[in-house]
Amino acid sequence: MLLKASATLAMAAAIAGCASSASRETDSAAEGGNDVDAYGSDRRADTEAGSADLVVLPAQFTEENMPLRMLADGDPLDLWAAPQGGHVVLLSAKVKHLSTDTATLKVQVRRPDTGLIVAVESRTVAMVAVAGEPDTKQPDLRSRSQAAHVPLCPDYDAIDIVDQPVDVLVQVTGLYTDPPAIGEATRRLVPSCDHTTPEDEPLCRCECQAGYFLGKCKPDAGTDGAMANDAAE
Amino acid sequence: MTKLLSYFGYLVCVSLVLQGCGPAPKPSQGQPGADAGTDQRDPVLDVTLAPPATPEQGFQLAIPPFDLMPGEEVQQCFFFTVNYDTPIFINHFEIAQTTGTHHMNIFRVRTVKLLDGADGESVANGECWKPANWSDWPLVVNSQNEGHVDVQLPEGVAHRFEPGEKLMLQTHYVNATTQKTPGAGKILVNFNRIDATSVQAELGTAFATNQNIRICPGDVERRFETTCRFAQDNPVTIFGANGHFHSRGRLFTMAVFDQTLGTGQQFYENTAWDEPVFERNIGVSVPMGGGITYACEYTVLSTECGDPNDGCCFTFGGHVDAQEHCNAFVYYYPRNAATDVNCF
Repeated sequence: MLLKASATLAMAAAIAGCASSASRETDSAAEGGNDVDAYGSDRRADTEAGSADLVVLPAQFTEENMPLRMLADGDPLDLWAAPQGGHVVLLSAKVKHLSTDTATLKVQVRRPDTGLIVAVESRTVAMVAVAGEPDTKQPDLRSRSQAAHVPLCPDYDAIDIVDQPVDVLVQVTGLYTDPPAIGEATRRLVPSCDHTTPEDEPLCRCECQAGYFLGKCKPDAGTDGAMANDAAE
Repeated sequence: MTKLLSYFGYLVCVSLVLQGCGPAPKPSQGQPGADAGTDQRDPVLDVTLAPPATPEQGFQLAIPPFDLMPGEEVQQCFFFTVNYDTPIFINHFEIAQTTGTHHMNIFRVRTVKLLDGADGESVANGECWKPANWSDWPLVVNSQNEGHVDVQLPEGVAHRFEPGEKLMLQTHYVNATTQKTPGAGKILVNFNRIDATSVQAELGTAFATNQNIRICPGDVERRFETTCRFAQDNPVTIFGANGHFHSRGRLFTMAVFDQTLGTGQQFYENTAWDEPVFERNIGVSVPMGGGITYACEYTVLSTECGDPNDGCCFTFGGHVDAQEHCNAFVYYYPRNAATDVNCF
């Protein structure tokens, strides 16, 4: 097992432009057989050399049946109030060279300074052609369920989520293809409560501030980070 | 009998009077007796569970029998107060439920939105179906299994309850297409105490719900995977875990999640949606900053229909026949100083 892992790492290191440089600045395909991501971890070594390369262009899901908002480094990433509680970010992607109609969309959010993983979300999605963009697919925008819902808040950590940059890795794996098709790209983004509703914004800021504890965001909490008014409940 | 009334305010005989009156009978906190009783098998039409003999030994939450009509699905939220003058510590739960139970969750009441009740009161359906109402209520204990479930925590590990703390017991019974209640619904839960001087670590809980699932007729092995981190203060040990989904669920897994290495050792697997595995005494180590990765896989027959207005797809929700869930319940120690954890 160690040998296999070492070999995988060695191959990763040997491949120019490997995942560690498949980075914030570029939209890159994950290298075949390389299962080491930008931080050298959390990757499955189940792809082989010769895998088809996908080009992944990270995007934010906005509304059902509305175009994706393409993401560049430094962009805000809107936090969205999930129906049962908490706030998530809705990530998607446009993908070039994907031959299949089904894919796994995986999103990993890390702290830029330490590389520690904040959250990971993946799901099976249906991929459809993008009108007017040859050889490009995206998850079916008719349903919000076709976007990754990455749970960032409540923030139980010691560092805020809201208004603090995070590295967002978006990885797409085509399913039922031979050879396997995989690609990924990373963006440094800033989770934001600015586009929540006025009613939700106080709750968003409270839940996405460091040091959350259950019951913290009730309207009358009266403590640092507590909700500003009753409307948010 | 008088003693029982004076201490907890409710009587077993109250439950007998209310038997057969449908949902939302008055709950009771009974006591005396010895230990767990017996139940019938296949199906479990009745359960008995003797309450702790004295308040010093613990207390019982009892939901008297209630009937469900064919096709009926009822979710009820019962409110209780921990009637003690000092903090108490519980390291042994005994749970008994009849066939037809879909889930039983007990929470600590925190922010009250549209769901509330005084000690002994209950809410049937309505606001009891809306999970936003308990979004910041810490999990105490849960069971999805008929018959008896024994949750004996490791030596020195206990749940702490404050004097007068309010709890909510939520029960969901189904007598519909995918699940039947052949007899009456009935739930009994014993809270067995240990002395405060014996406590070495408090139990922590994590209640994780993946709310954004959608599966449609013809989908095969559609997978949703996400994370929940709960080891904020220290490395923790997972004592027990169980997963919850409905009849489209084919595979529920949980694995250790490391904030540096990502998903690691799988420690939970379940393929039975109606009697899911409740792992206990598993002793799984989680590093500081870590938690779990949990995943649900679904297959939907082409003949099934969830929401007819949404292409017969199934989305997040509690109704068994028309909606789906992907919820994880995890019990670990030591608890974080400030909080239990709910993940969304």
